[in-house]
Amino acid sequence: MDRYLVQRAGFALLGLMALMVVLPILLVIGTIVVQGGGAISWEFLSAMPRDGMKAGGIFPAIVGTLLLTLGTALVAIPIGVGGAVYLAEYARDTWLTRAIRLAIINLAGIPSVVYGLFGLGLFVLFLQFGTSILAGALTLAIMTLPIIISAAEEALRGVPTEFRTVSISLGGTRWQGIRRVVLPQALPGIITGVILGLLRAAGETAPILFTVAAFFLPRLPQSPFDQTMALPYHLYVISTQVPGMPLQIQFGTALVLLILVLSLNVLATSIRSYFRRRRQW
Amino acid sequence: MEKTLVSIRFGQRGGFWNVSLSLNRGLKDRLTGHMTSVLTLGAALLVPLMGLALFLRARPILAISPVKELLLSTTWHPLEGAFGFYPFIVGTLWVTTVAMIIAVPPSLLTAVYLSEYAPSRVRALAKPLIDLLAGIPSVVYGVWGMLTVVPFVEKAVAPTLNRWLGFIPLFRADNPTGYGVLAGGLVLAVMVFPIIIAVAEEVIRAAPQGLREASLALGATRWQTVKHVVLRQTMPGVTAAVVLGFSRAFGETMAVLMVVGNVPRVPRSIFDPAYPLTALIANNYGEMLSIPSYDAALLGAALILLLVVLAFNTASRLVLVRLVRNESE
Repeated sequence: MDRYLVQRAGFALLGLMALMVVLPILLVIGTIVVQGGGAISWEFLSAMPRDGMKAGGIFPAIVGTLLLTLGTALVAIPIGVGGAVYLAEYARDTWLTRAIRLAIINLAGIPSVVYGLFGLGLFVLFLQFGTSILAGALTLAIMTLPIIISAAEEALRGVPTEFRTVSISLGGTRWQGIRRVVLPQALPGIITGVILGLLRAAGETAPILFTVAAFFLPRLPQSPFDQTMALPYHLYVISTQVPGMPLQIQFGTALVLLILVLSLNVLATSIRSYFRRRRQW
Repeated sequence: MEKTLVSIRFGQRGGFWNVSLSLNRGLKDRLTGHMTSVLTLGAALLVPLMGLALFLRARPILAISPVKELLLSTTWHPLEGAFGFYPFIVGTLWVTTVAMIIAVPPSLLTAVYLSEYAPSRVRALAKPLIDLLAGIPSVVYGVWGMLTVVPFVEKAVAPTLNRWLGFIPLFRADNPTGYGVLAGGLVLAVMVFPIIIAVAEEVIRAAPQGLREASLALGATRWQTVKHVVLRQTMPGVTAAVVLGFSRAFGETMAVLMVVGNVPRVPRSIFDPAYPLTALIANNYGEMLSIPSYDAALLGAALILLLVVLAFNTASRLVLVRLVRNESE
C-alpha cells in the first residue's frame, strides 16, 4: 500500500482516538451540568438540609469544605514552599536528595484511603484531636504536600541562574537572593501549583471519611475540634447511603462541587498563562 | 560578612519602647537552609512512617494466620476470625486490568497525536484540559458512574454481549444489576486517561529531535518515523506512564466503590460484582474497631495496597528519571 496513504490513515486514527478520549469527559461534565442545573437555587446553596437531606440546601457542607481547604492551605503552603526552596536552592545533588525527591513523588501516589487510615491513626487517635476539622485538614495537608512541593520546585528552577548570580555579586546572601529575587519571580508558578494542590484536597472523600466528616450535622462548626459536613462526603452519602434520594439533588450537589473545583482550576490556569505572557525572561 | 551574629536593639518608636532582635544575614541564610532541609526531610519521612505505622498495627493479624493463608484463602468471615484477602486482591486486579485494557490504547494514541501531530493550538489547549480533568473529584466520577455508566452496562452492554458472546464465561451476564467489574473498569478508565496521556506525551516529546531528522532524511514518512523510530526509542518511558496509570487505578477508592457492587466473591465474568481492597477498607473501617483482629486485618489490607503502589511508582519513576537525565546529557 502507498505509504503516504498509510500515513494519512494512521494520523486520522490518532485524531479519532484523541476525540474518543475527550468524549467521555465531556459526557461526565455535560450530564452533571444538564441534570444538576435545575437544582441550583439560592435556597439550595444557603439553607440547611431538611427531611433526611432529601430537601433543603447544602450550606453546611459548602462551609465545611471551605474551612477544610483553608486549614489545609495554612499547613501545607509553608511546609510545601519551604521544602521546595530547599530542594531547588540549597540541596546539592547527592543520593540523599535523590532519595528524598523519590520519597516525595511516591507520597503523591499513595492511595487516598491509606491517607485516611494514617490520619485516623496519627491525628484522631494518637494525638487525640478526635474526629475534627483539625485532624481532617492535617490529613489533607499531608496529601497536598507533594503536589505543592513539586510544582513550587519546578517554578523555582524555572527562574534563570543569572538572577541568583547577580544578587550574590551585589553582596547578597543566598537567602536574600531567594527572598527578594527568586521567590517573587517564581510566585505565579507557585500560586498555580498551590491552587491545583488545594483543589485536589477540596474534592477528596476518602481521607476525610474517618477523620472529620459528619454524616448529617445541620449546623456550622464552632471550633477546629468540631466535626463538619463536607461536599464530597455529602455527595457520597446522598448517592449511596440514603435510599430514595431525588436525582436532582444528587446531580445538583455534584454540580456545586464541580463548579467549585473547576473555577479554582480556571483561576490557577489563568494565573499561569497571564504571568507567562508578561514574563521578561 | 558582619561579625556579630545576633544584635538586640532598644529603641523608641511611635511613643513605645521596644526591643528589636535582628539576626546577622549570613546566619539567617544558614538558618533558612537548615530549616527548609528539616521540612523537606520531614515530608520525605512520611512515606516510611506510614509503612511502619501500618505494619505495626497490622502485625496482630499475622499472629492469627500465616501470610500465605491471608493472601490465598477465599474465606472472609471477620467475626469468626477468618481473614482471606484473596477475593479482594483478585477483585482489585480484575477492575484495574479491565480499566487498563480500555484506557491504554486510546490514551497512548492520544499522547502520540498530541506530541507528534497535533497543531500547536490543540497542544496549547491540552495541558490545561488535562490539569482540569485530573482535578475532578473522584466522588463526582463515582456519581456519574452510578447514574449513567451502571444503567448503560445493565441495559445495553450486558444483554448484547451476553447474547452474542455469552458462551464465553468471561462475558456471561448472570448479574443483572450493572454494578460490577465492567462498570468499575469504565469509570476508572476515564479517570486514568489524563495521567497516562500527560506522562506519555511528555516522554514522547522528549525523544531526541536528531533521531526524527535522521529517519526523515532517509526518506521515511512522518508516520513511519513515529512508528519505527520515536515509539521504539521511547518504549521504556511509555511503559512507565502506563504503570503510573495502573498504580493510580489500583489505589482509587471512592469512584470504584460506588459502582463495583462490593460482593466479596471472586468474579468470573466482567459483569460480576467485585470487592476491591480499597472499597473493603473504606466501607468497613470505623464500624468494627471493637474487634481488634478485624482492625488489624483492614490495616493489613492498607499495607498491601501501599506496598504494591509504592513498588510500581518507584519502578516507573526510576525509569522516567533516567530518561530525563539521558536527555540532558
